[in-house]
Amino acid sequence: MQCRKCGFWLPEPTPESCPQCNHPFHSGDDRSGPAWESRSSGIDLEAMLATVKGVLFQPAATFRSMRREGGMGGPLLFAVILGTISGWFGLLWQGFIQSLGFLSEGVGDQWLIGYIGLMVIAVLMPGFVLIGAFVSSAFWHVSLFLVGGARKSFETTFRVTAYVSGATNLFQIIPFCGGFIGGFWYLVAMIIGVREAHEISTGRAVLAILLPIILCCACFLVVWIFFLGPVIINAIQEM
Amino acid sequence: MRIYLANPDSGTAIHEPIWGWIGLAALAVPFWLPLERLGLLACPLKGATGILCFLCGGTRSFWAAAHLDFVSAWNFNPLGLLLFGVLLLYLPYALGSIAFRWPRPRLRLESGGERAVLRSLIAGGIGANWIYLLLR
Repeated sequence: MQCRKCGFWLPEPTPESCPQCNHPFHSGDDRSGPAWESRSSGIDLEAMLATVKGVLFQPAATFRSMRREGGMGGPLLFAVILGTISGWFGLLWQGFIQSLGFLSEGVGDQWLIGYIGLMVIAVLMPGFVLIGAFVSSAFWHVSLFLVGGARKSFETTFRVTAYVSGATNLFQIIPFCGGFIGGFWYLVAMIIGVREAHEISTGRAVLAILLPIILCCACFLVVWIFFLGPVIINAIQEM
Repeated sequence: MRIYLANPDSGTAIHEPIWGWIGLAALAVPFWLPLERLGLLACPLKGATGILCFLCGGTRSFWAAAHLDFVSAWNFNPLGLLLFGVLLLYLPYALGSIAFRWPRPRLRLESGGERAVLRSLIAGGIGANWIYLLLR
């Protein structure tokens, strides 16, 4: 086990706090959350709201107490319900924007951008959310593995992804800018979520979640240096 | 490294049902979804810099492979073609495993060195594919 605060490798048997930074260590035995895990019925609105609130505003505490295993059905149901409702709102705003004629060019032809296309997507939305939850979890788990952060099973990554995507998808209800806010919140909550669930350092969690972005920026930098660098150097020398 | 057979009822044996059904859906979608009429989202990196990201062309590649146009699939993105090939091999096994409850083979990496080798292979494969996309 590694200290989540300073990255110090904790000796066995695990102490109650980190010998280096004194950060309290949670053994994981108290993992029974979030509220959605102990709901009384299939769809418990009170538990759903408590989970959304926890994921969005207290992600560290929520994922520190999240069950790492125990079936994927619960988290999947959470993600599909909220993702579908939020997705419908997203489509509603898209339809509204289209009705104003902003997206009439360059997005696709009338078959898709027409209202029938939007309705077809709306009907298929639960399926898209379901497949998206598994595919994005696999993507994050590979990313975690590549940076040495996949300390727990795929199910743990899936649970974090499902709860985070379900909660942050709700931002789509906000017209126009909801997607941007939700996207940013998603990344932050994912970083905190995988840090707490896989018990890795913050740096490693940031690296895992931002790896695709970092890779793309690095690629841009390399191309810039190799292709634009000589041009600029020549221009400077000629001055 | 250890290869072992997992009981279909155990908690570690969840991958076949998940990826089997998703794989089947992924293979079915290209036959009824007219990709050429679909306004796909543009890659933000390509839009901003003109540089392909390592996943650029992946959807079109998979779609072309599903229509048995392997040359186009390779040209769009070799990763999409690879994914299609892996899926073709995996699907019969996954669906058979679900139907007949076969024991499910699992690989356990037991040392840091083995994990490092696998990491290097994945990162190297993605990197090589990306270099190919950038230099072709």
